[in-house]
Amino acid sequence: MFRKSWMGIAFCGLLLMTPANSFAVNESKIQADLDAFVLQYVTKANKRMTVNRARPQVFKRGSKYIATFTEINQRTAKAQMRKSNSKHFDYVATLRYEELTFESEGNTRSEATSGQFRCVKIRKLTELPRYVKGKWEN
Amino acid sequence: MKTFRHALFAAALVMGIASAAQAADLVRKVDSFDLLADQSGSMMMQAPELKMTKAAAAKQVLAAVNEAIPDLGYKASVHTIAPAGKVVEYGDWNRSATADGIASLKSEGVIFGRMTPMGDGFAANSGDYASMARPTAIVLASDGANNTGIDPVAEAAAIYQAQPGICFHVISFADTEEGQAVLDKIAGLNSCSVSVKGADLLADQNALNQFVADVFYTGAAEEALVLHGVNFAFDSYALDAKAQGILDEAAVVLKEKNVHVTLEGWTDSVGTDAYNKVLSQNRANAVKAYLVQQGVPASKLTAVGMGKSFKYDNATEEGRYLNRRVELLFN
Repeated sequence: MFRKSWMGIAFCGLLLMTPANSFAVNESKIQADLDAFVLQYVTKANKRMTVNRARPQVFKRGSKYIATFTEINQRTAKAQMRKSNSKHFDYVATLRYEELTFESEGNTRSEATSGQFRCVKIRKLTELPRYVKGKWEN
Repeated sequence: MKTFRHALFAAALVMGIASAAQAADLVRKVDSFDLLADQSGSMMMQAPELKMTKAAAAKQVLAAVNEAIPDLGYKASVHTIAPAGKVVEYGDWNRSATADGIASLKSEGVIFGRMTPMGDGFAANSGDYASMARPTAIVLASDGANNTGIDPVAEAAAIYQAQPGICFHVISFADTEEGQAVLDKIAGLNSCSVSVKGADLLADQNALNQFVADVFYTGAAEEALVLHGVNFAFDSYALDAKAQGILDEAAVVLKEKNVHVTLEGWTDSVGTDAYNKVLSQNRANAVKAYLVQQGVPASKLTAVGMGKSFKYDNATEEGRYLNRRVELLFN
């Protein structure tokens, strides 16, 4: 009698555990997809910037030429996901990263573009990517 | 006594954590720096308002600057002029070793018969500057007076010419017009220079912190929530269902932040400027109205239509998508 009760408890335990376990596995896969999405998204955004490291914008400030560009610091891009309250998507992520603006100064345009760039501005940005129909989008 | 020591330790720990957290939000403006102390005869003279010699005041200021620099992985050295010399070898910045080097500088010495070969000092140290990681800040603490030898302004100009990525900053202990004029000319050679009075830095910790920020790092200036996919029906201000879902999530973030938010609506470059300006304003208004419905106080939201965005390349579909966005700037 005692043995049968234990077997029943163990069986119920297994029934209860299995879906939760597969849910956790599913969530870790979605998190892995999110990490891959973030890397791809940030790389793409940097590539699509009109003014970038390879093509800085040059303007005059007083008698000096200033070369400037903006880029996302990929090392700062971090995303955390959670269940969404919306009926339109299952999960939502909080993606945080820093967008840095660099400047270099010179007496000529080419001196400015080939000089040492230093960070003059930081924007701490947050975006909310969504998990829709099995994939992340933003 | 033991309790006091524990309290002191706890306070130091909290301050350490706070300062580490602060440093994590900062980006260094320069990769290396040199603290350059003028040890000339005129610096050994008393500054009556400071009740110490100018050299002693310069030591105090340089020590305070060294303490206030956030640990962002700089390389550093300490040099002197009049006479030119190396006090701390160039290498990874070590706050404690730099403090020891500053403490070893002279506070008192021979006053008469010693002119200041400042330009010669710049020239003597320029070889060391050439091998420093760029960008480099040279923080000069001097009274600028009684110069002899190479013209210091011309020598600083020559260093600028030969060594791009270097920048002279001035902490002035000048008590003569002539000395201040020399320092002003050095600071005026390049718009990168920050020029301050040593007495101000001694008297006001905020002024000292500002100087350190201006020379050594950039703080996080702006924070924003960027939303893509907040779409409207064609030529309309009506939010589609998906956009409402995104804004529901944004409202959660906004309610957590008790700050005023400027809501900027941006479009891609398709269409005329005037049309996009009006469209973006109306859409920004629609987004604001929806967020207010979700419980974000209207008084904390200002909607602005920014019109066309050229931040991303409008020649590509991806670029246009990234340009069509709503930015919520936390003020």
